[in-house]
Amino acid sequence: MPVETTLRLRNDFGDLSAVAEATTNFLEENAAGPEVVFAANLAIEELVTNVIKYGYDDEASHEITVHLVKDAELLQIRICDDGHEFNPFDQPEPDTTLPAEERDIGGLGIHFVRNMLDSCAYVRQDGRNIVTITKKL
Amino acid sequence: MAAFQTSIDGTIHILSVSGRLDPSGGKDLKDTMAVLADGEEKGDLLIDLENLDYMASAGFRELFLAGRKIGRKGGRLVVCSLRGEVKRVFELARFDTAYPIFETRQEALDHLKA
Repeated sequence: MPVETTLRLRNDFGDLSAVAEATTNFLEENAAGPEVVFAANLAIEELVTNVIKYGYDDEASHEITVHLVKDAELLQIRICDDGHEFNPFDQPEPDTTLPAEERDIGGLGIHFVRNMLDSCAYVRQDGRNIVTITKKL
Repeated sequence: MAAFQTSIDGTIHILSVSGRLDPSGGKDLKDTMAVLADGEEKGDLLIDLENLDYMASAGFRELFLAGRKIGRKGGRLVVCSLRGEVKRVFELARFDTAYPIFETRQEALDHLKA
């Protein structure tokens, strides 16, 4: 039987630690290993940070939802926000071969998500951005 | 929550980061490195991550920015004792193309003192 939980936060960096704690608790209670807990936390932090930083054109409070579904074989994470249309996976990869002085500071977060998760998908639906990522267990 | 412990060995500043480095921990990391990155003081910075459980791009951003400032003053940034998933993200970031990584604190100190 799959298990699932929905976490809600505002577009406020202060809410990230509660989401990380709830994600960790949910996964550990459902027998996920440390590698899965790390990857899930990293993906949520990177994607939600992007939404909070770049997703909104006003100063209002917005809700972001993080939905986790886990069964024996797969963890699926779905992140929804009502910011402007933005596909986080449609950005150039950072050049990680450059020396210190020339290193891009941005773009590493999505590079980590792409490499630590098994699938990453984006859709724009009913005025919302929906990012779905999965990790095989 | 991340915790920071600093010590000095000659001109080498040693910073141990433990726990969980989330975006707010990234800010604390920046403040902790500011003495060497933004101050008058010159020296090398050795960052020991043996007890670090979690770090994502927010931490890398601060390391790259501080490393650049330290480098411009003639100092060196090195990292040691990566393990588990933290080691994996350092590999994905290809951090070693920018700054040296050592297996142990002793190897890092030997390198800086050589």
